[in-house]
Amino acid sequence: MWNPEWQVEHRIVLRYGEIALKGGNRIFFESKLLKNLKEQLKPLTGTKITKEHGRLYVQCSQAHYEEVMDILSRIYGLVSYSPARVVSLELEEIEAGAIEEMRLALADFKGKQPTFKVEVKRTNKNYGMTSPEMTKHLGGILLKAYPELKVDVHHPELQVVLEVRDRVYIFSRTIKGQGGMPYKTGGRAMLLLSGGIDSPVAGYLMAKRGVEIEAVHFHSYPYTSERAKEKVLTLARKLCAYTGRVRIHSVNLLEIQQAIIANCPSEEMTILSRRFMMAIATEIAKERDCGALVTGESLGQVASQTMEGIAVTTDATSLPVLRPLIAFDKVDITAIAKAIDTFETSILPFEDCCTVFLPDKVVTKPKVADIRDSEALLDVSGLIANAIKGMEAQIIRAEETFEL
Amino acid sequence: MIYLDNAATTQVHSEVIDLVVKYMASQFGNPASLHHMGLESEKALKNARGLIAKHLNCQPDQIVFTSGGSESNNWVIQRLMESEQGHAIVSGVEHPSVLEAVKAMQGKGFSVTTIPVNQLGTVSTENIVKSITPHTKLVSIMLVNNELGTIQPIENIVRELRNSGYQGFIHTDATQAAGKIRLNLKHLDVDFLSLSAHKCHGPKGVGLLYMKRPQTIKPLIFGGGQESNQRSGTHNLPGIVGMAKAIAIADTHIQENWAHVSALRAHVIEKLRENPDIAFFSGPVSSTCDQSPFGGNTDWAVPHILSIGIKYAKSEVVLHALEAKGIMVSSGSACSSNKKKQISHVIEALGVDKTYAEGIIRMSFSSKNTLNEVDTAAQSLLDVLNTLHFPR
Repeated sequence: MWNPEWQVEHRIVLRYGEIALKGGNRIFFESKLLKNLKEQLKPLTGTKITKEHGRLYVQCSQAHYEEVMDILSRIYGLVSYSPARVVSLELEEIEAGAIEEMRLALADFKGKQPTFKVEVKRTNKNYGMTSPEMTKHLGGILLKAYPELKVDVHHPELQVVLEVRDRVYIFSRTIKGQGGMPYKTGGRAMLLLSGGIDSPVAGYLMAKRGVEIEAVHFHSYPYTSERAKEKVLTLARKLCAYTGRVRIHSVNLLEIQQAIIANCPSEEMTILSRRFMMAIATEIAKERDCGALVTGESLGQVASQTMEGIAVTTDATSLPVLRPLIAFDKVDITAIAKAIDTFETSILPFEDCCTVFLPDKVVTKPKVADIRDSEALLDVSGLIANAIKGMEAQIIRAEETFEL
Repeated sequence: MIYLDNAATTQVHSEVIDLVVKYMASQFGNPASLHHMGLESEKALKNARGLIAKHLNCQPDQIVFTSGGSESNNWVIQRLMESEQGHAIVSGVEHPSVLEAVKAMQGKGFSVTTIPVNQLGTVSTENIVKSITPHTKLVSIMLVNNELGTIQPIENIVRELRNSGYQGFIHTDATQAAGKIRLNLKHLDVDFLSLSAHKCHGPKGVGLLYMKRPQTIKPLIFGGGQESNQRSGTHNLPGIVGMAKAIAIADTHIQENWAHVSALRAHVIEKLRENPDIAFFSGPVSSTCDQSPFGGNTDWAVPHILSIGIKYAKSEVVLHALEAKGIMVSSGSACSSNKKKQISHVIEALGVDKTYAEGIIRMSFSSKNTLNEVDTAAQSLLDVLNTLHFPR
């Protein structure tokens, strides 16, 4: 029986597959991964990150274990990680530890009975039992504790691995990580963030490729409420769970939308608004050293997101536009939104700027030349300059402080 | 004045009072209002919920604000017992807001099993598991008992019930536990938990119900749709914010308060041993306030509540005699003070000897009491007992 008096220490081995392929760049990516890990784990005092045998290990106490595992689940660049229980060389502790590890591993199989195998790696030559002896002994102990299970030494569905060193490291689970590249290894991009379901997902996906994300958000206060703005800030905070912090710029689009209504064909309202957003985002992006824009656009979702529509909005910027969702179905985007916990916030009923000024008919196949003509009726540079002058910027962090 | 009736209610922290005043005097907007003042109040509500969730280790959307422990208890019990057929299990020492609600809902089709307690007021996990039937919809066992301070092995009970394949719900009334033992809702794993602010130096008239899965039971109160349509009614924002602050303060200082109160209790027991007519009915106290040691079936109690039995005495007489010396204690449980019965149902459930049963005094301590205060109180009790003569 596991004795709660025994000190439990945890050591989690981290695996980073993709960056291992990069040869010369490996050192750069590894050091960035290490830096990101250190930053995220800093508040958990006593947690250490070490590098041994070409792998990274996180060491933590029982008290911090749950939190550490939670943070690791959101670190970009980790392909998988395995938590190991660290026990002393006392056989009683090793046996109890193995049984406990098995119990946790079985929970992942949800009632199914996996075949298993025990594997022992013994680097401590002073330890009494040999590897085969230990394997056999522990196999027997586990079969006694879990009589419904069967051993399969060739193709086991579950492996209980014990590394015998100055202490014994027992692990049985491999947990899938976020994948992707370490954050901030892929340049910086400006995300056009709205309160909808798509743009937060787009931001998350680009961040996963190592791109540092800054955001710009458009509102039409007082036509849109403060609550709508709060909703976007909340979505940015949800992204912070993965990126650490996000710098978000808020721009009031009201003057521009009113100018469009007054001077341009009503069915072009949406496409013209979007061009202004792209142009404004581009100026802020250049100011902030961003090499690209990111949007949540997907083909065929709304009227302005036809191929023609995308051609017209892309024409408003000179920066590359990254659209990770361009080929995604709504149902798949929604699944990601739920996984990253932005979905519930996105569906809150506070109107975004686009919908408030939605005309009855929307042009679906706009032509660049026609739209440029309509735009020429406006003082484009003046409107853009004004909008940027009134811009507010703030840095959103993941930790909520709950001020009362 | 020496206040030793903290299990009845507690003095509100001054920081909590300041917050309550702020949300009455300047930030008094209705969180449901669309304007800026409403938004500011809504943010405060969100922060209060987030702060509480952080300290109780649960998610903000698992917390619903109510008017207190009695409402939370009634909500769970009334909704889970409203079907024609069913079975519920409670302990014999639950608070009246649980027992009376259960009694009211009990009917021809809905039966109730009352689990007995041992001498120290603890229920046995085995008894509870044995009493489960295929019709059992609710098991409700309080976390800390208000008259004796007994800590029930809830973590153990939950684990055993879930392992046994129990499909119903598990509720715990944690009103007396808040601020005393460290609450970790994730580890406790109950389906419902009731809590009240005024037992942990927060304002009266506000509490919460923790629901492991939101929207599990229909609302008791319909109306404006507050609390995600689970509990309508304009939010008592000053109370809620005050409660959040009180819970935060309690959780932050929980171990040092536990140590302090343990010392006070030990001193009182030591002093009162002088009198051979005095017996103690509360159980032993652990050195740690974390709930996990109590997961097992051992008899533990919180140091904050001390049940003192005085042979042949009449408790109300002793109470008033102490009151005359400026010392406030309780006899029986505060909520039951209207009852005609002299002996509380908890004491009766323990099977306490008749010679002590009518002379039970409850001293309940808080972190605000000092060693001098409890020393004076203990001395006063000894003096009072020397002057009062009860027929043997």
